[in-house]
Amino acid sequence: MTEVEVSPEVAEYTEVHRHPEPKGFWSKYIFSVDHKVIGIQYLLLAVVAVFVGMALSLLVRLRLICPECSYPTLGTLFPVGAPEGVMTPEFYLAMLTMHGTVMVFMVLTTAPQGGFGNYFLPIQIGAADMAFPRLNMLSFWTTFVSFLLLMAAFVVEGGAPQTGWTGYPPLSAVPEATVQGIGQDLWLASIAVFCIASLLAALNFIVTILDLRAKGLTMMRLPLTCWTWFITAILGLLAFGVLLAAGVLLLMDRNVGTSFFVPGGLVVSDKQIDHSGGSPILWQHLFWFFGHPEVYIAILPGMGVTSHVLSTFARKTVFGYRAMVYAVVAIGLLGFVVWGHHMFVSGMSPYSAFVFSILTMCIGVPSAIKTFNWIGTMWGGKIRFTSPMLYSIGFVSLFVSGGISGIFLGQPTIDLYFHDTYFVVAHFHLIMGVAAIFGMFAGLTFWFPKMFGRMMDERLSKIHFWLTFIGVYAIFGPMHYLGMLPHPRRYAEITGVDFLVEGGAAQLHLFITVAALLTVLAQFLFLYNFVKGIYAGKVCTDPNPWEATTLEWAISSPPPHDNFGGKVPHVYRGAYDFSLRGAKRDFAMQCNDDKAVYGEQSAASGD
Amino acid sequence: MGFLIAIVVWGVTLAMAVPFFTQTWWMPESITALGDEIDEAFMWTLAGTGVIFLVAQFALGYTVWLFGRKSAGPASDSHGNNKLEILWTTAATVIFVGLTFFGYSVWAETRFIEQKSMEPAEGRLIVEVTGQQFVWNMRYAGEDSQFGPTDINLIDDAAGNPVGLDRSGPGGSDDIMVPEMFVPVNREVEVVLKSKDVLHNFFVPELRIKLDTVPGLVGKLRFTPTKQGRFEIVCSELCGLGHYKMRSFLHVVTEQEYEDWLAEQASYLF
Amino acid sequence: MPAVLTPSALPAERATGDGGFAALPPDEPGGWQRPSGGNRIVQRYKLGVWIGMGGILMFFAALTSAMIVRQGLSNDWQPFSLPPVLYVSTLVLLLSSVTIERAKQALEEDSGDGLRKWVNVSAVLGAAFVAFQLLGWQSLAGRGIYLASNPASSFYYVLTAGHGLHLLGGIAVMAYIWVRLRTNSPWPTRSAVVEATALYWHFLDALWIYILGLLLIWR
Repeated sequence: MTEVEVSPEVAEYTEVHRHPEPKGFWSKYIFSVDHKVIGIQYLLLAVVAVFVGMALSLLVRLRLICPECSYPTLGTLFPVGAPEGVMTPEFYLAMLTMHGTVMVFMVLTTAPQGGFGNYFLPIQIGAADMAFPRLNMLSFWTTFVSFLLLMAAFVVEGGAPQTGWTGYPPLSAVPEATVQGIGQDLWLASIAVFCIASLLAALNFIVTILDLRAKGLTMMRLPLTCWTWFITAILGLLAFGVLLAAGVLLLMDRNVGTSFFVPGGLVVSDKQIDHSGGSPILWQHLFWFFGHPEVYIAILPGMGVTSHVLSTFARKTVFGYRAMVYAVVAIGLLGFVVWGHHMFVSGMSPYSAFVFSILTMCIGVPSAIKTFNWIGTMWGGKIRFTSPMLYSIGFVSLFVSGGISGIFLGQPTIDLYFHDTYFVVAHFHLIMGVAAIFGMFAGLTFWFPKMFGRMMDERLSKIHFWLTFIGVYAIFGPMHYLGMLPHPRRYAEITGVDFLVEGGAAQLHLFITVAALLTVLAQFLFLYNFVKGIYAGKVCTDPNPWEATTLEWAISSPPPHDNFGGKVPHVYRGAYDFSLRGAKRDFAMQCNDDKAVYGEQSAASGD
Repeated sequence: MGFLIAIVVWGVTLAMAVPFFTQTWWMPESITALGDEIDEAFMWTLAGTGVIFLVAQFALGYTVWLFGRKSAGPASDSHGNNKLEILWTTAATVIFVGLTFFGYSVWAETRFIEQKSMEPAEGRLIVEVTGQQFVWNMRYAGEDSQFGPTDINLIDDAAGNPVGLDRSGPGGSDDIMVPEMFVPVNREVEVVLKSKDVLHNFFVPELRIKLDTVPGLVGKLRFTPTKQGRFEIVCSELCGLGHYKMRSFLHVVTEQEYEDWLAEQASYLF
Repeated sequence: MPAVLTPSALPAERATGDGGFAALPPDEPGGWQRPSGGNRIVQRYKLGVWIGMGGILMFFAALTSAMIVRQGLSNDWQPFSLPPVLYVSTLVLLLSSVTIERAKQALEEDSGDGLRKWVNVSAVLGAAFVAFQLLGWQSLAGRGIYLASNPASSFYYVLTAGHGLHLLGGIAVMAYIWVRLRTNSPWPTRSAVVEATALYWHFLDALWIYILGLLLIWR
């Protein structure tokens, strides 16, 4: 076993037991129990999924601007969904459903938590690995199976489900109402398996944070990234079990003739459906009890990375660290009591709608606190415009833009008009879609040198930032105007409705589609930069190129097996000690004691 | 770099906001008093959030510009300001929760129908709307103001009986089934919403209100149109492949025209 | 503002380097123990089980609320009397909680034979519980009450199956313990696995009592 060089940054270690390094290819790269490998596996899964999801969104966009256009390649790939290359409305709905499902589950849930969280949480808290490494491996491979099940829905007879990512019954429960085939069943099975994977992962994250923190690393010294991963894990633990239950019940409604969600007396195309007494609303309650926390599962890690990166590159400690922590906790708690705002027009009791509305508006408060504190963090700083910093600034802007429309939708009175229109599409894409994605861009560019020991091309990253930042505003800004018309969601085309045709929806759709095409093209620039960075990026020998403070920057890049070479570093300070007066450098790492920060003499004279 | 970011952030902010000022893409004119109230709530929210939006984005750009300059001094070692923290927490709470209370009365007026149903239905026109893939079926009670019974075994789209109306049942002989809705102006209308198959959503943008039609449940919407015209009824809940073309019309006409129309429809029955 | 401050000139809370929110001086353990301690692994595994209970409870809470809502909503709920064999299975499961405690006791006394014996007895009792549950299903099926017969029976089957699957997971871990104990290879996490399994087993016991009560009250 090679001895790992001890970082000079770490003032003190505690010796612990070392694990042997795996040697074989399979145990090292495939069925690895190393959190770093698993983190990269999650990230790669998310990268594959995000390109699938983007391709699906482009098909959706293309059909919206030209329903009758023919794309011969598409006709070859999907002879049923796109006969002679012309997308059918059914195909449109299938693409839309799969776009939502792939993005929400396989990208927004996997990458921020399973990817970055897995890789950096143990290192940031000074641990050698997650609390249960084998469970961690199981989580990833279960997620992978879930992804395969979801992809299988494309190739079965009848094709992918056409019921939206929310899968509202009776549409999703009664095959006669959409398509015969097992696409919807595969979709449900995929989600059920995904729930199990996420539950296992959540358990692992929580125990890791509670139990494996290095000496001196109190909860209030945790990097904000760790706090957001922690709260995200709690949300996942409490939310995914509910979705699992709902998914199992819906599967049974479809396949064994139970009636949990399907009411009696249904007649589809003159054919009576043999069910009785179920409640479609019940599914909505169960789904959104999961669905709303899921929004925060997607966005919270992005908030953590943004706080982290803004502080690092403004060279200034986080403004109101404690308020930031409380805000994250508050968002997490409130996230469980607002699910009803997705159901204002479902026929739910208007009294409960009012309660849900007030609670929803309360979420605006911690969100506002976070925004102010991000700006406050930069205020008085000395900003370094690195690419992760740009993405984080972009995150704040997108978070504000996406959050502000929530104030409209959270009021039942106004939601009466905007519910299920493009206004909603614009809202959630900005806040849980692209804001979260910008958090991932920030995380990836920030941690890339640590993960691969090389740098991504800063210039390309910046070009990508500008294209994407302007691109996503060009895509989702105009969707608000479509919502004003008001353009209902999930319309395969606008030809059926006069106020859309006359209101100028076609022009807006054209603009959005062109913007989407260009923005997707820009993502290939990022992919190129990412792949090139791994193999041919500038070698980064400096373990701490950004002059950051948290523990991952104290060890070599990429981190050795067991992270700290079978030792546990001691932590002496909070996560964001920048620009300390009297310090030798403008930052103090968490593992630096006062002697290292202020020098031998001043530390001695300090007492 | 900081200035460039500021310019772009301010630029996209303005680009987003300007069409809301010019009202280039806008709501159709409201045709009910309730719709006007909803519009008012919307405009207040737009004003409030618009200010927050502009201020926050401006502050973001300005901060990045100011502290991204080469000439900016060393970073401060401040780690927060509790007074500021409390100030903006309170302000955000007041604004956000206040908006909800502001809209409460309108919401109550729209949706607390169960309670209001207890009141006598003086002069109120009741129209039953049944959604199905992908058409709207409107039913009027006819002269006797009583809806006939329905039976799902009688449902037969081809024979023109999409809701399974039992013509021989009490009050069933004079029920009128039509694909489009006619209502007289300035009269209160209650729409009774049902669905035969999956979820749909009854939405007339000019009314500013919508409600899901849920199979197995009965929903109610109430409005009093004050302007005449022909307005589109669209489906606003995914209901299958024909979701986008599930459309009908709401015709708001004079009392006389309504009576004539009703008489004409009734004449087809016999 | 002086250009350079010495630490002594810093505010007191600043000197601890905790961003002004000092909780503990750096050399205080703060609940932190040496990661190599054996007892610590036990605590970690048990913490894992406690947290896992949260997820499992949410699953059953969702089913419970669905059940209550579903019953209140419609008129097709047909209550039926529970198969009497459930009370036998309940007793068996309660007994297995006692035997798994004996296994823990054997572990404390470092009695390998005792541990193996009591884990095996618990696993057999667990399997017997599952068998009795299946008998319960059979008895219902004999009365013509199937999964899809009506919502009351649907929830009966779903809840018992959900609980049974979790129990089978517990039995699988016991089988793993049995195999590991047989091979006699060094097993540093032995105590942790046994104690966590016992905790999980008690949880399943309590969960079953809850489900039984639910089925009795809301049938």
